[in-house]
Amino acid sequence: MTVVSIYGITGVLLFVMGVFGLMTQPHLLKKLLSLNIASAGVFLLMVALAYRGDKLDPVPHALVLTGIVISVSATAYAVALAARLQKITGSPTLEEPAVDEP
Amino acid sequence: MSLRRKHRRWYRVSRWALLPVFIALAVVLVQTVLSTAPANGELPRLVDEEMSASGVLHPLTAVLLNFRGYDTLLEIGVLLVAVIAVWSLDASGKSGHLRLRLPSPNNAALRVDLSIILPLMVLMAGYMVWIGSYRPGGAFQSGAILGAAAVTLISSGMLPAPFGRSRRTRLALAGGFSFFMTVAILTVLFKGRLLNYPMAWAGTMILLIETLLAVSIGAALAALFAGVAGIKVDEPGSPSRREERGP
Repeated sequence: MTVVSIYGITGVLLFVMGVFGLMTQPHLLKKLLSLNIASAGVFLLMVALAYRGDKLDPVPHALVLTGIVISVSATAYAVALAARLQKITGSPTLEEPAVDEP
Repeated sequence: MSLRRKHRRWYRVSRWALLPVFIALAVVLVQTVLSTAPANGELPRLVDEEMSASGVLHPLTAVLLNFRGYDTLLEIGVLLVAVIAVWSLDASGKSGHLRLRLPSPNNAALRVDLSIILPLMVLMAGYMVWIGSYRPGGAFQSGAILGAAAVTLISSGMLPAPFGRSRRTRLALAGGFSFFMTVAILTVLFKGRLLNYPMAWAGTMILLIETLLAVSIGAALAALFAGVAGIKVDEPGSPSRREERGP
């Protein structure tokens, strides 16, 4: 088993776990954590794939470095949105407000 | 069935309904990783050939700041937009979103620790930018260290709580993007291609851009943290303090 497959498989499993959590966890903060686990998996996979040739490919590494910063800023914005949603509706999920109940 | 009940039912059922789907997905993806062909792309060779024209010696820095400089330009733009977006959700700048509560900063041990650690962090950040031209390092790593230093300062209550809305921080936030954008426009005007630096200046340009970028990235990370966390420092004599001390 090569380095590429060890890190690549870890990345793929993290990605699948993250997407699973994103779809099955109602709490928005847990959704965000899941999304970050999934993106960490994608980054890990990309970094691993850069090692396939006989020379290291710096382009995926540069993309990952950019991606990390983007995902940090998107996460911060999402946390702010989630906190604001909770302030308004009183619930940390995307559930409809209780007034809709017949 | 109301939307609310549908929502609840989905989350009760989905875990079990989706589990086999995701296990299958994992199996397929693992097989794909195991069967990927060795790389035969042109990019590593192209990067290698053009290294001498990039103005730096480290391929990662060359890709980030020269060959794919527009990625980095857009990225620092996204970071700036994220800060503006977080700020605009909390227009007063005083409440923050989560209201973290911290102990008072009047703690001698904390102050001594910070006075040792923070200068070292700033030194390390400067070194990171410098070393980026020939070894792993550069604006992002440096910005992350600067951001961490600022977060340490904020969360120990040494920076005012509505951090980042003063003119000085705004300047630090926008400096990297503005300078990078100016360079991009100038290169389009004079060289006809975006971020195509004159070869003789490439190294200097990259170092200058990276320094400003590091400051902006650090400031943006700290502003995002402060904007989301909404630090509230316990002042001596505030209600919670008095309760602690008792009558």
